[in-house]
Amino acid sequence: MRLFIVGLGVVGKGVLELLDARRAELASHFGVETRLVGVADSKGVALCEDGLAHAEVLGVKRPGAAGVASLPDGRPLASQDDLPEVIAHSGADVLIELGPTQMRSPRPATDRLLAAMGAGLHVIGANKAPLSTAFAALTEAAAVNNVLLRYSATVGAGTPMLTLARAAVMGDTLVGFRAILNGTTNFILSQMRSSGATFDSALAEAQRLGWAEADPSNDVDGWDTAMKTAIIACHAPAIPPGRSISVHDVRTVGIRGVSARDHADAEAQGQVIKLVASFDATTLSARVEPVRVPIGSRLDVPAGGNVLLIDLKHAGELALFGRGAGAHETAAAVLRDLVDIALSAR
Amino acid sequence: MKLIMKFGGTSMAGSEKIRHAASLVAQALRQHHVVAVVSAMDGVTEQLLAIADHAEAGDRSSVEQVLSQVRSAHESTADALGCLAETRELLSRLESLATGIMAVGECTARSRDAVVSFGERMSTRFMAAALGVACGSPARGFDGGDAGIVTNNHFGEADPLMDISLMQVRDRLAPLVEARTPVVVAGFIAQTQSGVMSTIGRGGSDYTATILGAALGADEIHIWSDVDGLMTADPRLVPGARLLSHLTFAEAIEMGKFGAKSMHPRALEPAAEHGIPVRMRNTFKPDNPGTLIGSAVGQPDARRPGETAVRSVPMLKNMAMITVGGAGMIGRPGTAAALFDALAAARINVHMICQSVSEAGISVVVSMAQLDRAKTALERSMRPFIGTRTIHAPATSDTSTSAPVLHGIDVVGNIAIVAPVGSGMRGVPGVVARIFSAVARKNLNIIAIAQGSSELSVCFAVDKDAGPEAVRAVHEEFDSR
Ligand SMILES: NC(=O)c1ccc[n+]([C@@H]2O[C@H](COP(=O)([O-])OP(=O)(O)OC[C@H]3O[C@@H](n4cnc5c(N)ncnc54)[C@H](OP(=O)(O)O)[C@@H]3O)[C@@H](O)[C@H]2O)c1
Repeated sequence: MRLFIVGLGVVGKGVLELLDARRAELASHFGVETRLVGVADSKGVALCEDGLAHAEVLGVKRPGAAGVASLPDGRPLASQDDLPEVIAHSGADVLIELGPTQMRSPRPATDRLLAAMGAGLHVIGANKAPLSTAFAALTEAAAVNNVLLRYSATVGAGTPMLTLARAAVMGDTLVGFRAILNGTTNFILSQMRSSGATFDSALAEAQRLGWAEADPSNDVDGWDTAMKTAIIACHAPAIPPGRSISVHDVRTVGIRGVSARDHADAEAQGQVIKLVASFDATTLSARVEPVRVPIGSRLDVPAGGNVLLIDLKHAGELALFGRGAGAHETAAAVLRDLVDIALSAR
Repeated sequence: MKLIMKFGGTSMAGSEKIRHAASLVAQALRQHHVVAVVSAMDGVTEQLLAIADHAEAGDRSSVEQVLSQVRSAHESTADALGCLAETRELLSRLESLATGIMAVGECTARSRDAVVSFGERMSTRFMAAALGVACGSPARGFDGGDAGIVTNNHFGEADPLMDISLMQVRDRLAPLVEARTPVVVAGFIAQTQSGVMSTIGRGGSDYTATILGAALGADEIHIWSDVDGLMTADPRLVPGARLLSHLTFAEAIEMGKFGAKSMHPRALEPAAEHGIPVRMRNTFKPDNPGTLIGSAVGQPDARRPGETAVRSVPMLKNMAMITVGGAGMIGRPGTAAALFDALAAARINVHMICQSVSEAGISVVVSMAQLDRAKTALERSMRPFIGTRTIHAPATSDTSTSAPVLHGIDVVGNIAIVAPVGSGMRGVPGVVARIFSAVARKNLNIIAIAQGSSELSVCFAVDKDAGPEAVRAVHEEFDSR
């Protein structure tokens, strides 16, 4: 399979590393052999029909290096608006879209996915912004162009939460689900609880340790969790056919308002505060908000953990726990999608 | 409120009318958020199609003749509205396209779409210019494709990819609408996923308007034309015909199927699905409320108190009924499929279908204009079904003795279809009986009958001369309103 990868940050590099590490296994177990025919980062693209060497690509993405434009087959890209055209004409079979999640301007990424599918490429996305704002449009594009659209990395990284959610609603009536889906807020809340720190100092600590980004809004204001909630609800699907739910339909409250005092109060009653996503299948309402949960309960997950609890009418509660982020964790989900596409398209 | 205001060709016929339409939009913009949608100037789409045909046939002088008509009408309008330069630019692109078609001697569906798109593209410039003046701030003009409407590649009759279109239109237009920027969108035209101009065929600019309405979450969609709204019957046939103040989507869709001056059912779909009322209004009598098509409060198809069972009695004239019969059809699977496949392949529009109880015959009603084509298609494809007798006499090698029981294909020309429509007909006993006794009392002979699948209508065929009388009889019986 000829691959085009957009975005060579943490996850993009992880994908190249994992493709190398698992090359023999992918070929022998699944008959999947890949060739990297195109890459793009924020400044340029590189195209090579015969395949770009992973090591060379990783080389130009080391800190301080000049990016893919500096590859022998590379060139700078004047505008990111040109990228969809480039992808459509790249001759690739699969686009792997690992650009930044920009919830407030999801269009560039959405356009890349639509252009790729319009040109007959299968698509793998790890980027939550397009899937959580334009789910119906993207699935329509996949259907009319007869291509596959996969995005399991968007929720739970390596932990196959979307797969579980779909399997659950296929066999049973969904009552609802609850989940913890964001590591940054989980870490900050744990810090506040264990050290009695204020939100601001816990956030600063999280930023120092690399748990939180310089602009933490996406995480601490709940948007990352809300996007994932919308994607689970659409994918399962937890909503009736013909309906869709976007991140803007999720009532979202972040953790900025949680004080050290709140933690102490909760603790006194044997509870902890977590940023919990919930979906009620009766009212079709989704929300994200800080909630008190009993210490030691299934929602009381450690800082790096994500959990999805699905409540089914007949089968009862299902739980899936796993790590929700990380370079190789997320890359594993991308490879899972790749194998899935290879097997399904056959 | 958020409004979509769509102006048809008659509202766009010349600079004065365009200025008037623009003033209606400008006035609405003072209180509401508005998007204007425009059709080509009256008659221009036909002229453009003629250009495409003449060009394909290599008839240079006819191309030039029609082109010069199009040019003079558009140049004078553009001159009056102050957008001559951009209009000339479009006209010269149209001319080179026609020249290109003549050079290759072939006009693909894709090129034809490109040719007809010029009508809406030019009228969009006109409306934008007039609206800019009327509002005192520049208006933004969009082609349907630029506005975000994407279709498949079936040029000439392309289907919008609805979810993608809704998302893109919302994305591109919502911020402008929110900011009350005057926006004009060309109706009827869209683009494919790869950015090639396409047209959406049936429903045309009305369809564009309802798609925009659905995408933007409009409160109402106004369809402006030169009529007051929908009538209970054609006033030329029924002097007492009344304007319908309101009706349901289901009724309007049914009326559209039977030739009432309604919207194409396809164009009503996005509005019905998103529950956005559509108001049909007269550009030249803007104080009239027009006809409101919407869902009755609470129940989508409920009858309002005091409403008659039959709301409207549309009639299709110049119709013909083709009956395909033969004992060979009895119990033979695939007959109906073969018949409809043949008609579809010949692009015949079927207005009514009846099947005899014995299965030995199927009748379809088509327009007189399509009769010859339909007949030829059926003669060719139905021969295996009507040419031999399979039930009563097993096929022998001597085919000359196995003549069909019926005469194969039978045509009754010059008929009319009358189709009383109303939500109140559904599940109400006796309505159908009343319709037919009313017709019988006038001594009119009914040739065939079919019940609409939605139970909102029943349609029957009568001789063309009996049509108006039948319409009057039903209208009078139910005192339609
Ligand atoms: N990290 C995780 O654990 C995780 C887990 C699940 C999902 N995801 C999602 O996966 C995606 C990638 O995450 P990441 O952690 O790898 O992010 P990242 O390290 O910030 O990398 C983003 C990459 O996208 C490139 N990029 C930025 N703007 C671009 C543009 N306009 N056109 C093309 N490329 C552009 C960047 O180019 P430069 O290299 O030139 O800056 C960079 O290579 C995000 O959408 C994220 O939400 C991440």
